[in-house]
Amino acid sequence: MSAVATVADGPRPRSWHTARWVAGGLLAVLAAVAVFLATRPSYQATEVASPLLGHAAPPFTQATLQGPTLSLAELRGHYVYVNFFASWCTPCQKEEPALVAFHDQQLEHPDGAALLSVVYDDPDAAAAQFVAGAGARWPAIEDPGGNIASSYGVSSPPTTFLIDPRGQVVAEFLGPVTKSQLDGALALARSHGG
Amino acid sequence: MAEPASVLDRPAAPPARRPRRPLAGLALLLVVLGAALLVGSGAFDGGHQTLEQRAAAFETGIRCPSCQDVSVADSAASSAVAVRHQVLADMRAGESNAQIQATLVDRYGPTIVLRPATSGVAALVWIIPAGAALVAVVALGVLFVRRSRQISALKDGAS
Amino acid sequence: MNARLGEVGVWLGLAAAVAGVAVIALSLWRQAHGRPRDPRLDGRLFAGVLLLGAVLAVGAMEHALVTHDFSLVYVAENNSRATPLIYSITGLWSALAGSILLWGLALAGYAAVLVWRYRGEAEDAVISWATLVVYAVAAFFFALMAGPANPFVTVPGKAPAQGLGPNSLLQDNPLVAIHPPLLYLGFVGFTIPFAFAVGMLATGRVSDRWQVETRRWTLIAWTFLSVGIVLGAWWSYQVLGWGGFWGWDPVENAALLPWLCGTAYLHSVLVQERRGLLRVWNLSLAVATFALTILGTFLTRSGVIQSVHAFSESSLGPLLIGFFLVVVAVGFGLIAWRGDRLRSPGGIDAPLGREGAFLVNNLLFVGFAFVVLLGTLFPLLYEALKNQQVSVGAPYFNTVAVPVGLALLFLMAVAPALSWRKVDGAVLWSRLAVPAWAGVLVVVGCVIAGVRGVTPLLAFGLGAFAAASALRSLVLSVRASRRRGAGAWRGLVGRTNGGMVVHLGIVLLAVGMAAATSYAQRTELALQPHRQVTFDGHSFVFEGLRLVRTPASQATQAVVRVDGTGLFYPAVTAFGGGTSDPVQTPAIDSGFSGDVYLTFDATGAASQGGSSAAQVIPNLGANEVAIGVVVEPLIDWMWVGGMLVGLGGLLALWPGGRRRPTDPISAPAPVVLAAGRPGSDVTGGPADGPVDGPATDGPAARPDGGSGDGPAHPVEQPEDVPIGAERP
Repeated sequence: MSAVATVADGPRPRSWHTARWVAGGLLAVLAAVAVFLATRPSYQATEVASPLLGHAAPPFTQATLQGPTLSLAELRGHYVYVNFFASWCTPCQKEEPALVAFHDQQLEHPDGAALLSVVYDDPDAAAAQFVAGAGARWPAIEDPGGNIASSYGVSSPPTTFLIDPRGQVVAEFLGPVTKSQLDGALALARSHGG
Repeated sequence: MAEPASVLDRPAAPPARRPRRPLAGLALLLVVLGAALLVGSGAFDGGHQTLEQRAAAFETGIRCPSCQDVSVADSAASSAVAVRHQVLADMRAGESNAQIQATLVDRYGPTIVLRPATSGVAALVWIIPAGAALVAVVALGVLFVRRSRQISALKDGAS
Repeated sequence: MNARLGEVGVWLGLAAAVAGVAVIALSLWRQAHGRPRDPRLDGRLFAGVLLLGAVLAVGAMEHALVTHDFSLVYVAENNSRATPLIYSITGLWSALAGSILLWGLALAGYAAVLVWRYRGEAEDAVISWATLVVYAVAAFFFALMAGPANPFVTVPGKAPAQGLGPNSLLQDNPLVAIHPPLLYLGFVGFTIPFAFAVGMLATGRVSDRWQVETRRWTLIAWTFLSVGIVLGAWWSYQVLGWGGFWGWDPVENAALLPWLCGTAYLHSVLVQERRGLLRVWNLSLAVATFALTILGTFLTRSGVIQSVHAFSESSLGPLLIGFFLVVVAVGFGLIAWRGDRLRSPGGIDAPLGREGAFLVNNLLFVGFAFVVLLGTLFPLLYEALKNQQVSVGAPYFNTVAVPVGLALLFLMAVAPALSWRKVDGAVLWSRLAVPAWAGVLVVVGCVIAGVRGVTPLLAFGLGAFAAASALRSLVLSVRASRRRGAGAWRGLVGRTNGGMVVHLGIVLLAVGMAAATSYAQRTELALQPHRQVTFDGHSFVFEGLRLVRTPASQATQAVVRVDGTGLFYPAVTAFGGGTSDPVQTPAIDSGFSGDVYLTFDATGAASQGGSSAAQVIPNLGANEVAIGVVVEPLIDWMWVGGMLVGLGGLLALWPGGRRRPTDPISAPAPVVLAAGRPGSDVTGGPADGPVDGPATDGPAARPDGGSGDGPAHPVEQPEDVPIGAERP
C-alpha cells in the first residue's frame, strides 16, 4: 500500500522550462493586446462609411408636417441633405441652429443644396412643435411606420445623408452635424461630381 | 443511543459493499438518458416551423439598429420593430433567410448581423477558440501519457 | 469647501501611497543587503493615512451630493435638487470620476485590513512585498484622481442653481445602491491575491501557507463579485425592458472575465493545498484575475468599445491600458523568471482523479475567459485588419458558453466524489449512482411533461445531478459532524460545505437561466379597457391609465390586472422634471414558476395624431394600449441561486474545525524522507488526508467538511520522495 503513496512522486524533467515559455508567451501576447488597445481611437460619431454610399438613395413620397406631399424625386438635379431627427433627441436640438444657418445660406444661391428633414420615431405633433420652435423653414417629412428610416438604415437620430443630383448617396453623418461639416461635404461632393 | 431521527442522524454506515457490476448500472443509466433526450429533442413530434417561428428564429440573429447588443427579437425600440415588420413582410413574399439578411446588410451595414460569418477573416473568431480547445486537449493528452510512462517506469524501477 | 476637502483627501491618500511604496522599498533593499531592520521604516502606518485620505475624499463628495452643492462639476452633472436622498448617495458611483473614488476607498480599506491582519508578521518579506504592491496600485488610482479623473473640479464662475440629475436608468431602481459597491469590492479585492503572488515570486518563497492565506482573501473578493454580477443581471432585467438579463455587452464581459479566473483560482488552490501541485497555475491565475480587473476598468472607461453600460469616454484609456501593461509585465515576467523553480516535483497520478478534474476545471474556465475576451475585442481587431466592421453578439457567446456550462455542471457533479491520487470506478459509481439517477429521472420527467429541446434538458439533468451530488456531500458532512458531537450546523460551515452550498446556488442559476432563455414567450397585446386577453396561460385586463408625479419624475402608468389577482403598473417614466428621455419602467409579476414581465409600449391615443414610427401593433385603437408581455419560466431561480452563492461564500469563510494532526485519517501517510530542495522554500501539502465520505473509506475518517482552513497554519512537511530516487 505504501507503494501507491510513494511511486507516483518522482523527479520532474527540468529541461522543458514550461513555465518560462508559457508565461513569457502569455506576456508577449497580452503586451501586444495592450499596445493594440492603447492605439484605438475612441468611438466617435462622425462621418461613417455608410453601406448606402454610391448607391441610389431610396425614394420616398410622403406628406410633410407643413401639409403638402413631397417626393424625393422632385429634387433630382440638386444636392439634397436629408436629416433624420426627433424632438426627444438632444443632439438634434444641438444641431438645429447649424442646419438653420446652412439652409439660410443655401437659399441665397440659385443652385444651392436643398434640405429635407424626416421625423424619426416621434409623434408628429411633437415633431411639428420642435420644427416650429427651431425656426426651420424647410420641409419636414412624416414617416408613418418608420419605413423611410428603415430603408435608409437609420438606427438613431440625428443622422444626415447627402444625396447628389443624380440621386446617389455620397455621405452620411451620424450625430449632430456642424455647419462646417455640411459645407465641407457639399464642397467635396461638388468638386468630385460637378 | 437514541433512534436516528432523520437522515442526518444516522450513525456511520458500514463500508458500502462495492456494487458488483457498476458498468451495468452505468450502461442502463446512459440508455435511459439517451432515450429521454431523443424523445426530448422533438424528433418524434413531427410538425414543421411556421412562418412566425422562422421569423422569430431569424430575428434573434439580427441586431436592433439603435440598441447595443440586443436582437430585434427582444427589443421594442422603433427601429427594431421596423426591422421585424420588414422581415415578416419579406418572408411572406417568399424570400429566403439569406436574401433577407443581404437586404438588411445593404441598409444597415454588416454590423446588423449578430453572429459573425463562418467564412473569411471574421471566421477567425470561431477558428481561434476551436484551435485553442484542440491544443488544450492535445496538451492534456500528452501530459498524461508522459506522466503514466513516468509512473510505470518508477514502478518497474522500484519493484 | 467640499471641493477643497475632497482634494485634500485625494492628495493625502496619494502621498501616503507613494510614501508607503518608498519606505517599504527602502526597507526591502536594506534587508536584501543584510542591513538590520529599522523599525522606523515601517510602511504599515501609511495604510491608516491612506484610508483617512480616502474616507475624507468620499465623505466630501457624498456631502456635496446630499447637500446638492452644484459648485462641483460632478455634482452639477449627476445630481439635482429633486433627486431623492438614496439616489444622491448613489451618485457617488454614477459617473466616471466618482467611480474611481469608490475604487480608491475600497482599495484603501483592503490595504488597511491587510496591514492590520498581518501586523504581527510585518517582518516577513512576503508581507512587505504584498503591502508594497497594494500601495503602488493605490498610488496609481489616487494619481488618476489627483489628475485626469479629478472628481472635485469646480464649475468656473457661478454655481448653477439646478443640476442635471442622474441618468434616468440610474435612478429608477434601488439596486443601484447595492450592485456597484459589491462589484467594486469584488474587483478591488483581487488586488490582494495579486500582491501576494508578486510577493511570493519576488522572494522566491512559494510556501503553500501564503497561497492558502491568499485563498481566503480571494474568496471574500469572489463572493462580493459573484453577488455583484448576479445583482447586476437582476437590475438589468428589472429596468431595461426587454426581459433579458445578460447581453454579452463588453462591460458585462469585463466583469465576467475576472470572475472566471477567480473561480478557477479558488478551485485550483485546493490542489496546491492538498498535493502541492499546480503552483504556477495558481500564481498565473492570481495575476490574470487582477490584470483582467484592470482590463475591465479600461473597457468601461476608455470609450474604445461602445456600450450602454460604459461611462462616457475619457482620457483615462491610455493610462489604464498602460497600467494593465505594467501589471501583466510584472506578474507574468516574474512567473517567467521564477516559475520553473517553483514547480512541484509531484505530478498528477491519475487523469481521472480529483487533481485531473481540477486541471480540466482550470482549462475550462480559462478557456472560456479567453473566448469571451476574444469575442469582446474581435470587432476592434477586425476593424484594424480590414477597415470594416463586424458584430460579435449573443449568438456567438451562447454557442461557446453552452458546452462549457454543461461541462462545468458535469464536473461540479462528479469532482467532489472523486478521490485524490487515484480513481476507482466502482467506488465512484457507488457514490454517484443516486445523484446520477436523480439527474436522469429529472430529464425523463421533463420529457414526459412535454419539455423539448436537448440543451435545456441536458442543463436540467446535469443540474439535478450536480445538486444531488452537492446535497449528498452536505448530508454526509452534517452526519459526521453530529457524530463528532460538534452539532449539525458545523457540517454546513467551512470551506467544502460552503463550496457545496455555492454549487447548489450555481445549479439554481444554471437551471433558471436555461429555462428562462429557452422557453420565454413574448408578444405584444393590444388591450382594450376591461376586456380580458389571454396569452400563454395568463390573463390580462387593462384597467386604465394613471399619472404619477414625484419631485424627480413623472410616470404614465398602465394599470394591468394579471391572472385576475394582482395589479401591475408598467410605465413610461420621465425623469428630471420631464425634460430627459422617457424610459421604460417594466412591471414584473414574479412567481416560483416564472415571471410575467410587462412593458408599456404604446397608447392608441398617441398614434391617433400621426406618428413617424414603426408601430408595434398597427392600427391601435384610441382607447387601447399596447402592452409587451414576456413570460419567463423559472427566472427567479436565478436570483435565489445568486443569493445562495453569496450565502455559500460566507459559510465557506467560516473558520471550521481545525485539522488536528492527531485525528485518524483513512489513507496511510506517505513515507517522509529527506527534507528540502536546494534553492526553494520547504514546501509540501499536509499529509494526504481523509478522502471524501466516511461510508466508503473506513470508519472514523473525517470528511472534508470539518477541516476548514481558519487561521491555522498547516504543518509544513517535507515533500514526498520515492524510495531510492536520486536527488538532482
